[in-house]
Amino acid sequence: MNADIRVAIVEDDEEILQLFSLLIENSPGFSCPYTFSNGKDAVENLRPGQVDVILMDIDLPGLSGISCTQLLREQAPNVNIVMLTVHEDDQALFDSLCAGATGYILKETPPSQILGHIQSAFEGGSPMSGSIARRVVKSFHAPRQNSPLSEREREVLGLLCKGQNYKMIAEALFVSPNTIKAHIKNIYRKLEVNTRAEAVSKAHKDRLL
Amino acid sequence: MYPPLKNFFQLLIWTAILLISCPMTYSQIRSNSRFSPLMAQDGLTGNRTRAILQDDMGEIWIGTQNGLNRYDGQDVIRYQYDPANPYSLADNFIHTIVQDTHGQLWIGTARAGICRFDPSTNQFHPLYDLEGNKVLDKTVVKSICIASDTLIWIGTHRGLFQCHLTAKRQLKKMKVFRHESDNPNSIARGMIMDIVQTDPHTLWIGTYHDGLDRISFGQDTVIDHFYKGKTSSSTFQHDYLHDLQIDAKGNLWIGTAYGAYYIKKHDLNHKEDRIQQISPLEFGPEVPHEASVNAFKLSPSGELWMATDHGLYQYLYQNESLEFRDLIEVWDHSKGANAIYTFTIDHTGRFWLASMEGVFYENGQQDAFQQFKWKEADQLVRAVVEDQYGYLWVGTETEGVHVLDKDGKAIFQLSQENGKLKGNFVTEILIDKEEKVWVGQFRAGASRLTILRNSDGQPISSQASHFEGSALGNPDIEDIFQDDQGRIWMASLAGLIRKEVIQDKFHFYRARWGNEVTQTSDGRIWMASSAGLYIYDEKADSIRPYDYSPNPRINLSRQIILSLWPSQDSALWAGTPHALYRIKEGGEIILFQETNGLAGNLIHQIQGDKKGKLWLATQKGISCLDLNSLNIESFFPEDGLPMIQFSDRANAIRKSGEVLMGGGEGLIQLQADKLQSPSEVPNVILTDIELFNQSIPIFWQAQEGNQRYLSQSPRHLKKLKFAYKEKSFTIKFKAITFGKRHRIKYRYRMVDFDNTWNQVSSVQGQATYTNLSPGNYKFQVQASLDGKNWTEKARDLEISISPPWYQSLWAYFLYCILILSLIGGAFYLRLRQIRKTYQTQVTIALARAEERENVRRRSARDFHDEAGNRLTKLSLYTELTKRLLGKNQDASRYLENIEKNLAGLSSGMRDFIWVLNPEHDALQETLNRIAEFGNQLFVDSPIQFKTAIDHEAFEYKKLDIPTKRHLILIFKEAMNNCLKYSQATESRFSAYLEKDKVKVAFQDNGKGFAIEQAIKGNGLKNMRARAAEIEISLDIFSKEGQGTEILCELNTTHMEDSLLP
Repeated sequence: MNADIRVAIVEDDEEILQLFSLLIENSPGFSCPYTFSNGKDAVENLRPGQVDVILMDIDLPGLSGISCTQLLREQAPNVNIVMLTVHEDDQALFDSLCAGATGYILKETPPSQILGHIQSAFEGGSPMSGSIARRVVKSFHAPRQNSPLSEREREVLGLLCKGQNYKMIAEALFVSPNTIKAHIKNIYRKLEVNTRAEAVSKAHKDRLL
Repeated sequence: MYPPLKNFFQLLIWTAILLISCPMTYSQIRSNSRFSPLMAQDGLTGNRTRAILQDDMGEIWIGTQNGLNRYDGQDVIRYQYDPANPYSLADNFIHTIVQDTHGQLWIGTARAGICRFDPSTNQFHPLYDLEGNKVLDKTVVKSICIASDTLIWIGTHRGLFQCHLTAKRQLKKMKVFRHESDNPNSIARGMIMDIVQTDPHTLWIGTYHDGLDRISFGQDTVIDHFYKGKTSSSTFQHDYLHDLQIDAKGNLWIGTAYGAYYIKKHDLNHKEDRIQQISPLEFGPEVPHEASVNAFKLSPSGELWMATDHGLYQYLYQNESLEFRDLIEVWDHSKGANAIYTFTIDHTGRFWLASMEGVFYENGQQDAFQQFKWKEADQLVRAVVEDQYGYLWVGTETEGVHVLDKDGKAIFQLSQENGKLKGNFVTEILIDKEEKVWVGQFRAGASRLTILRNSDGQPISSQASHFEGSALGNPDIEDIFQDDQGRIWMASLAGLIRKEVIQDKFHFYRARWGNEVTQTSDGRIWMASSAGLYIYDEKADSIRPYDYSPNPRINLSRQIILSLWPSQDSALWAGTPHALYRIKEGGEIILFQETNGLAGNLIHQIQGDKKGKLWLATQKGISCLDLNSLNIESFFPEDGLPMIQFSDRANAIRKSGEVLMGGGEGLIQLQADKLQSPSEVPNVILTDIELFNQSIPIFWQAQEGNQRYLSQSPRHLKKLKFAYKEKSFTIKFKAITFGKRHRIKYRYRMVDFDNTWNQVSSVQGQATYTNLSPGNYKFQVQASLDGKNWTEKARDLEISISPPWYQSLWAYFLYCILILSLIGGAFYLRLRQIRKTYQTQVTIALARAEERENVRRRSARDFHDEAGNRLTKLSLYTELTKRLLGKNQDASRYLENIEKNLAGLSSGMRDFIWVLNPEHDALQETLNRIAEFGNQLFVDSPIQFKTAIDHEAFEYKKLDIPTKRHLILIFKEAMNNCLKYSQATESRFSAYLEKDKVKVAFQDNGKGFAIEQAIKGNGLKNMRARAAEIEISLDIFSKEGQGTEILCELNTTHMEDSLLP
């Protein structure tokens, strides 16, 4: 607690890297001992226990931020990795969180808040926006063990929930619309519903997908 | 009996027909009739014949004691009882045959009652009643009378049966008239031999040994009996009746075992016995006292004929009063049969006689051909001539010359043995103008004899002079001829010999193989030879071959000429082995052959008669050529010609005009006027239909299985249908004619296939057709005996050939359907293709639209990426600068503002990107985002922020991009305002569904503001502007001290319910 929070930054933009580093160094309670401009360097050079928090840019050349995160987590399971991203709803961000990142920070965030997020990550929090959080939580929701639907049926139901009609589903799954109709019939039967609306509702409610 | 003569009108019609077709009167020729036999050896089931009938087609039915026979002039078809065949004749012992108006034959038998033959199917049927029981089985039926279409009378040994029939010839009702010993009004007891109906109410039955009964139907049925001993004045001498017949005038004739009786028409219904008898003496001295009259018949012309045990007689009426005039005898037992049991007269007037020795039918004239035979052995006649006293001088091959008297007896002979001749092989006999007899001998020259005769002209002795070959020039004399100048000419194998008129001096002209010498009416002398024709040149006194140069096509110069004849029109007729030629001056030559009507092509003899006819002896028969019309008529053995083996040039003509022809079996004499050929036009019947060379059977004779069969017998078949694969079929046909078989010609054609008639000259004919294309045809065939008059009503057979399945109507129908469906299919495919294209286009358009969207989004993102980096840098620089300028208040304030603006800019850009993402189309997502923003905004503020979003209601609603954007901005503004100005402690963001309208609201419990005075900033104005932009309703509720609410109402124009169909 009295020691500075040691932060490593992995960022490919030189200028941003310098600015962040400067900001962290000039902030009391934080230090920035390491900076890397690509993931490979980070993985090769970071040893467990050397840093407390790693700020990882998502868009990295060569080894991607996600892979880097994964590797670093393997090396040092206790290290906190906070992703740096431009878009808060990036699929890549989501994937990196699934890969083990602790949270994320928008690059444009006012610098005070950035320090706050690093702090909270160090303390064990998991800073992220609501929609991302919901997504992550959803991904941890495994489908019900005893879902009555087959994999194909789940696929169809999934597309159905997305609002696609039979033809589009058929084309997406490379089968004939008649096959889709058959699947839908089975789905209705298994779910004991009569209309599409009911089926989708049930799918969501019971987490069938 | 044929035709059913009970009907008077029919009789008139038949008479008329006959008079039109046969102009001759038969009584003249009857006495000389020649009869041909038809016996078991010709195919009959037996000789003992009791019934004979000609049916409506012209065939003759002969019932014997051993079966039924059907004769068409060429073949006999036999019908006998066959236990294995239910449709066979019921009993072989046949007593009577009649035919009804529907062509059915009713047969009375000795053991099985009555039986019916159906010619359309060739089946025999017993008489069945309506329950299917056989009627009259084991009954002797000797007489059948067809009263009408539905009524027949059957006379048996146990009564008279009146049978009413249904249309199908089943017994509907039957009434029996039996003899009742105690009832005088019942019929007589004996076997009913014949039944006739004299008027619609009167029936006569003749019984065997119980006389005649008359049954009168009226109010009551009255039966009158006529028999010997009934009254003292009974005419009947006895009661054994054989036959009853109504004649042309309506009188009733009764044939009995002892003579013929009659009842005149006006006496028919008289109560008393008005029977009259024909005096048996009239039958002639050779006939015993009473002749048994077995049967009566009327000829088509109305003559009454009767058959007796001693012959066949015609009864000639004197006048209306029925006085007997004459009996013409036609048959006596010397002809072959002892007694004529029954007979019939066919529609041409020909007699058919049935006896126990077989059937005899009239076939030409008796003495048309008279044959002379002398001694037991046949004599090979080589020459013949009649002398002025009527004696026939006949030259033979081995016995010299025989002289025959008028009875054909040889009374005189010239031979080598008696020294009158030098050789016995006589080739020619000539009686010259001085009544000397010249005899040409083969290899022995010629002899001239002076004949001494007695007062009757009979030769008694002769004196002979011989001329050797050395004198003549050649000993092989073939012919001797005397010309109009009196010169004697001889044809020899080495040349022509001429004797001078006075002296016995001979001149020889070399030629080859001379045959005959003659002189045409222009005086020229001709010699026929085996090397052509020679002509004698008077001037040059030599012979030369005849020059035919104007007519090079017909070259007789190399021909073997067998016979010559000069005709009156100065034409010369020459007979060769293959044709008859007529040569006229100027070179005009015409020829005649079998195809022209000659009996044969080998012309042995040519003899002109005194009536302008040329008689030709050929190798097959004799022909008669009319010199005016050049019509030819031929006669064959079946016409009575006794022999056909004629010798070359062995012909002569008698003073009385008869032609003599000699040959291998003696001599025949032709009675030209007896050789008539009535023009008969025969009927044609179809005998058989063959398919692939196999006869098609009638349906009930077909074997098990799929065998093809005919629905009717070929004789009656009218229509025939063939399947496409049954393409090769043969139709066999036959003309019904008796005795003129060699003359039969047919012509047939398949209408719609053959353009012309096909002619066939043969006894039986057949027509084969293969590969007829599908369709309807009509086969027609006619027959003729003279090539000119053809069967009036041609035998038609309609034939239709079904098309193969692929050409049938159904197939065409199918093709239509196929074509229509093909067209339909093509249309459908095209339609699908169009739709697909359209869909593809739609998809492409959608994809393009989506692509554009993506492009837009990506561009926005790209821009934001770049801008984001710059914003980050700006933000960091600002922070660092702030740290450096920490003491300066203004600088800090300005830098903070820069930061705020940067933050706002950043947030706005993120919002923009967020809104473009189609994953965030759902209303839900937008509401969540606004809620999230609220969370973050109020997180460090004293205002407690709550959300209440009815998730379930909104899950399926989508928002379009402008609505999303503006909605977010509106509520962000509202929340910012709340944070800045409201001094509230609580705020709430809610969204719910009310009456199908989505309501989104943000409330706080702050101090509120007066709406009218809300002029600070452009906040509210902007909000309203945004709401107007996206056409949603926006309501702001606020009062001082009472908080604020911003309420938006979304209608369906902004939303898509994407999961609705």
